Amino acid sequence: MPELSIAICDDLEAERISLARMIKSYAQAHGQSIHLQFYSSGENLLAALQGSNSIHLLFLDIYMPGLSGVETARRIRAMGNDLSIIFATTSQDHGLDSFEVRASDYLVKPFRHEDVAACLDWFFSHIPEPLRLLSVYSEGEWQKLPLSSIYYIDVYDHQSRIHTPRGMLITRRGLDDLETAIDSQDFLRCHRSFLVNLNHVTGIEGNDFQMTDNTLVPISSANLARIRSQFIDWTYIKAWSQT
Amino acid sequence: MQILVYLYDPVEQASLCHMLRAWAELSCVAMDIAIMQAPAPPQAQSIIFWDLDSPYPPPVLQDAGCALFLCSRDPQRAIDSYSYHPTGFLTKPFSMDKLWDAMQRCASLWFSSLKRLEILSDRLRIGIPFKNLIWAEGTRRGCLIHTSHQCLSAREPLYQLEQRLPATIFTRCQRSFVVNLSYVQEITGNSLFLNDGTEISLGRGNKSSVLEAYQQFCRLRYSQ
Repeated sequence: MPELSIAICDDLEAERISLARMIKSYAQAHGQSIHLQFYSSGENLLAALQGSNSIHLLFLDIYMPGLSGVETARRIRAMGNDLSIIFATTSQDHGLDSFEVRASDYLVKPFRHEDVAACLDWFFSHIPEPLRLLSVYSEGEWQKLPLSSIYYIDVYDHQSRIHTPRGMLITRRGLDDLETAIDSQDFLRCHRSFLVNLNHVTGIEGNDFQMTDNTLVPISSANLARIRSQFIDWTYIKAWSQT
Repeated sequence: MQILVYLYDPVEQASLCHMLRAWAELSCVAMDIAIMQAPAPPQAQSIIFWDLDSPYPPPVLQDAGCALFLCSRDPQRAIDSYSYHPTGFLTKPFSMDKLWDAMQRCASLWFSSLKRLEILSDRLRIGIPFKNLIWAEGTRRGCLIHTSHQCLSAREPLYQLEQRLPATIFTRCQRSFVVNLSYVQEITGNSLFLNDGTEISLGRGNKSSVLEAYQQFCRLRYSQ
């Protein structure tokens, strides 16, 4: 598991420290590697998210000066960010709002260590798909790649080449085997020798997928119609699920 | 994929089932809606609506191919309901808008049940979900089909294509145009505005039939 970024957004420093202590203790007990970030307002948090800060799980207070936690969560969703949100608040009046913004859980203060542990148990056992990992043996060692970091995989010279933003990894695992291990709706076998991550596709150009890094991934001409339909369906599902 | 409803009160049950049928008809989804007479273990591939006001606790879902929506008269129970990790929470009395949002949340579960229009475009056979087809216009060589993602040409004449479209959501608004009423934002004067910004003028002979079709659509969509 790569280091997970967990953020706490609360205007009260004492609350941030107390929650951070519980999270660290959980992570230590479960051997999880985490990186904690702290924010004192919704505005600061949104600014960080608009920059390059990546957050996987957010503990969000509701009553804060300036933007409320609920409004902050709405703006996070409007940005298209799918991070997991857990409300951590004294208020019991925002249960419906929390479902509206697709929060994963709702903790009412004062909460105990066991409550936080139950939330984290659920989060770690239902890791969002982009954070799932693919294990491959490459260059003499086992490497774990987040699925989100894979652009596409192709077969060349009896080996599979995994294309990522950090370059290419070569493994002897076959493409069928990798496809089974990935087992994700975001990945499409568009050709006998290519498996593509649809999250990195910008469009279809003739018989190819145009990728975010400007490469072209070929689509099997015999299955062009089916694959085109599958890609369009995937974009609809993605858009509708995030509304 | 099926929808299972377990609600204690028969009036609430009837109301939710009525809305679900309307949703299925307007979304052109082929799905069974079944009423659970007594609490039963969840079946795979189901969208479950469960009454939190009943004496029976909701099922614990392990299958990723299921969605669970908890329903209660008391909005405060939304927070408690998190212990069951539902997909969503609905307050009673049910509203069509909230139900619509709920179903969008589990789109990946019912997408394969969408009814489709099969067309031949550029020698490729394509199945467009009716729900995604915004409007179609007749051309000299057949018709152009506009979806939110692409524009496809087909050799089929518009009148022939129209016969294959469900009349509940599609209506002819001019000699050469058929629109999906789900995407209509406004009908004013002699024009019809779609929510992608397209303006289509209404044919003189079509105006009253379009208005009537739109009113019928709204009655179903907003469960009036």
